[in-house]
Amino acid sequence: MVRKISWHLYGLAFIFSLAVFIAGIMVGKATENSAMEGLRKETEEISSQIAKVQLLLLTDENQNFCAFYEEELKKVEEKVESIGYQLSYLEDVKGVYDNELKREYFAVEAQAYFLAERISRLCGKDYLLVINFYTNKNCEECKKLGEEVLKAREQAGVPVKLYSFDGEIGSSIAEGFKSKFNITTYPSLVVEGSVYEGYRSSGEIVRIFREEYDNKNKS
Amino acid sequence: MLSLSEILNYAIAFFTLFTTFFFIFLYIENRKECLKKSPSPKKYPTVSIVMPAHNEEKYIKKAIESLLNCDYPKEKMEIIVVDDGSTDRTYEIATSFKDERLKVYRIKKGGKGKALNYGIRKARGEFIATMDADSYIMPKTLKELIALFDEEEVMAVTPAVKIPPSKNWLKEFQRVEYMMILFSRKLLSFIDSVPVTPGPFSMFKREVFEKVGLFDENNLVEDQEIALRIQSHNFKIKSSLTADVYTQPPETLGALLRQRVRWQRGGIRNYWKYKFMISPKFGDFGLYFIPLNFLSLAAFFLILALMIEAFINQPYYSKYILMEIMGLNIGLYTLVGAFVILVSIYFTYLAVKAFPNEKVKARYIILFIFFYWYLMLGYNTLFLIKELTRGKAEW
Repeated sequence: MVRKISWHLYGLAFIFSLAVFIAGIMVGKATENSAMEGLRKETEEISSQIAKVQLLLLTDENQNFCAFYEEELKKVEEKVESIGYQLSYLEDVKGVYDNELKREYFAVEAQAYFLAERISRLCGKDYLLVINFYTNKNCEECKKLGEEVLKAREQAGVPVKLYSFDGEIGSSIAEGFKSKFNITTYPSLVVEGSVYEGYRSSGEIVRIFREEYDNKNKS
Repeated sequence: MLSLSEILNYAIAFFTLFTTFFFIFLYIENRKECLKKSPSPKKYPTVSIVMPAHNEEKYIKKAIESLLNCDYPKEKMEIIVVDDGSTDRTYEIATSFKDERLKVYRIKKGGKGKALNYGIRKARGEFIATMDADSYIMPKTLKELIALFDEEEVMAVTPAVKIPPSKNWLKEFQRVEYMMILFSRKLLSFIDSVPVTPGPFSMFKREVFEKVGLFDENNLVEDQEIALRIQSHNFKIKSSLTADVYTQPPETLGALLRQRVRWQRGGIRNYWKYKFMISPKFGDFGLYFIPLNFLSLAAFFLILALMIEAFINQPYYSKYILMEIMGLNIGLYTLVGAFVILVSIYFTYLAVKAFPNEKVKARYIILFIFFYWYLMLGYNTLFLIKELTRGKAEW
């Protein structure tokens, strides 16, 4: 038998595969862009949501509104955390970076931090305020610490409000926090104002959380 | 700069698309031919049916009866049963038939290949069919197969090997799978790339055994090896979708996995044995089909490895944003995945539609579409373990 080669089929299959392949890549890029746009919009919305609560706090700093403040704070923090994780996922897994958006996000995180601090003082709340300073530039320990902090928060059994700042992307907010807590190295963990430098396991962090929580409640 | 895993992901995505499109266009080009019925044979040559049997007391009666009742001139038929050292009543049942067409031989147990070759040496027909003793044919099957030997270069013809309806979900699943296999084989026949002459039933021109030799007696899947050998001699193998043969599939998941591991191990070894055919000299079979087998297996393990790697390296915080991650991941892979699933569903529909007499419940078609990948995962993993540990070959 004389063997045939179906060049026309290979050609058609190649052209159509290439078309779908390129379309797939374009859809992927469009999804990433739209995700970034969505996160930017959400960040703006949260920022104005926080501003409203802050305005109320400034207008009438009254314990009668604590239930409302806490409710609003909870909503805000859930959203802030979700945006933070999505930004990290886009960076860590998809390799998509947007430092401008990150800076905007850090500003919102800072607003949420100060709001939490203020509500804690006004309403006598006992949650711990924790800041994780990291960098994405050659810092394997930063990645590991980020994971350990999340595990520790789940295990500690004390209320923890967690904020993370990339200290190396030129965010003035992050710079402000760095200067406030005198951060010189990454990773660094700030728990209720005390600085813990370098990598620590979740077990160690749990211990720190519990100690700081006890100290806070004693005082 | 792309990482290695990104390059591999892209390569697999493109390869998957290419293969899917190739089969789509192959189908579009041959869709009319695909379902064409076989013409009636112009003449009725002598046919010998060789049936090796080892402990087949449960099924051999039906197998022999189906041959004795088939619509083919009696004087042109010869049935050779080779009892391969059965320890049950197989021999007694086979010899209980009083018909001059039937000859029963008893040999010391030596395996299916040996029994087949023994029967072929005894056969006198111009055409030789091989048949498993747990299978049976329909009255018109022989005629339909003979009619396909309409070109000088056709040396073998494969029938539509099916599974009888059953209440066992695993058998029903395999019924759908067999229809898919038949449909794919029919498509492959249009590019002269039929890779197997199925053990349950296949028909050969007598001269092919003189030209390429008898069955490999030490092969795990001798029915595939002989087909590859026929292909390596540039002979043609045709495939029928209307010449029905029914066979018994494994009834338990364990037995099914054992069967598939054997097919996979034997299959890959055979393709490796015939790797010299990877060349345009052997047309589409050499240029595309044989490499496709190696590439598919490699892609399967690569996908598995990449999925494991992605799972292990998944950031800890991912668990808090599972829904959002689904949205963030819409792109090339979701598009390719969705496309392949849709084409698989359409091809399964076409395959089932190709056999209007076979009634299959929709739930088994859905089961096939979604369960098949898990079956593949199971037998490919076992295949890899067995190959790496040099596990004993089991028939």
